[in-house]
Amino acid sequence: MSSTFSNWSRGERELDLLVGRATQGLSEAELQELRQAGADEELSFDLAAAAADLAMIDQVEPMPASCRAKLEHAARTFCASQRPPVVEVVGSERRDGVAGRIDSERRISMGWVAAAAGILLAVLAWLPKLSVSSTGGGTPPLAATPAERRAVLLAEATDKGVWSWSDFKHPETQADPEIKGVRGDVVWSGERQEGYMRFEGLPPNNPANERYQLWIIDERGLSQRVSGGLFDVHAQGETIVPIRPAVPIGTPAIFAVTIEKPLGVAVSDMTRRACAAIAVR
Amino acid sequence: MNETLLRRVAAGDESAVQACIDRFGGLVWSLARRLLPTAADLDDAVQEVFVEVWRNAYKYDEGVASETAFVAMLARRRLIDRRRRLERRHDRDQLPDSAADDATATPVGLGLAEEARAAADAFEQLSSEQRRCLRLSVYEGLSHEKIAASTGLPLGTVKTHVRRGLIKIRQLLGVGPPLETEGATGEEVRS
Repeated sequence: MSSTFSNWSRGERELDLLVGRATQGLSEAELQELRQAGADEELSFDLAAAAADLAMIDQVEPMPASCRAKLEHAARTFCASQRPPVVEVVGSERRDGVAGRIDSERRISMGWVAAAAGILLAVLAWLPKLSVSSTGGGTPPLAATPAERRAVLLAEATDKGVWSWSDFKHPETQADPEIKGVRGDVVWSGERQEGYMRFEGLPPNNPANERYQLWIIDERGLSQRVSGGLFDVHAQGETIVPIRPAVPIGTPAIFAVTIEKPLGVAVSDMTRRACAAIAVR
Repeated sequence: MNETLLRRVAAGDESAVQACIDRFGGLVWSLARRLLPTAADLDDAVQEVFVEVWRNAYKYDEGVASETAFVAMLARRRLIDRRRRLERRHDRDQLPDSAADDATATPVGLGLAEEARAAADAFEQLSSEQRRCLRLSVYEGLSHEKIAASTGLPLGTVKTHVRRGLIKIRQLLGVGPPLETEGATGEEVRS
């Protein structure tokens, strides 16, 4: 926080933007302008507005019990996402070994910038292959493998969505992805905050050189950063990877997989793409 | 007040995550009730704020602001973003009774912590017009344009009062050194 107060030679326009953000919010274009000016991490005006707000509050209402219950559920989800990653047995044909895993990458702030909108619009034009199904509810029994847990989710989550992978073409140039023809799907339940990616044709990677990175965009869109995490594929054939987002996901709009350096990236340039699934309901 | 709560959250202390709800739940709920135009999605909004707080707890620096101010800042930013996203800004046709002539409103301590009183002291040092514009902007959530329309002040004057008021508060509270930008601290009122 203190590091954000290093540059005080602000121009009029930057001050207008900082004051505007602190009081009435900014448009995406204005936020981008602030980022380009290197002032988006400047917090002192936001803190001043918060202080002014605190000064004027005359009473604090207690949070309703129903809201608190939801919040405590979110807290448990958040805490679970922060625990050390667990090596998962994935790939229904390989229960005797590790075929892949996914890490919760709390430090990777996704920072999916304007290109995300392009992805959403451009990919929508040729990608959607949608199937949504619903079956009865119930509490899922414990399942040992991602494949089994995925089956339970498919069978019992009433709000689940299932969306097919397609080639993740470049949103502007429409260039083909580096990895083409990946098959499989994403299944996701918002109520359970649980989901799985099933891949066929996603080639094994060498984690020392590169890793797959999942990106999720929900209805919060560009302003909300959601980390999808890194994962590896260690075997040919079908691979199932559990999704463990670092934060609760709202209504997902797109799941996309890119190939990145071993530690992942904060903002993908999308030069190395694999597949994407548009979550249209 | 436990000054290390957010640091404990950042360190992965699950009890601290719950303690955040205990300590700031009422504040965030109250902010959401006031800043969002409808009650339809208050629960989701509050959850979104807390996730933001937990995710950003590692950024907290007690040398810059209190935990309450930090949480309020994150909450306000998230709630304002949400309001814009929903494209349902506060659409109040008339000024709230408490705001229309409330240039001398007396800030009331929250019982949250001493920082609220410090903020109130700073707020009291603003000019009456600065307090009025800040109240309408920050507390009531009105756009600068709507404040201008409601008060009869020129838009530029409203913006100047808001800006100058925030600059003074941040200086009084020590959340940043004086600005060097030409015009930022000038005395003229834009019109």
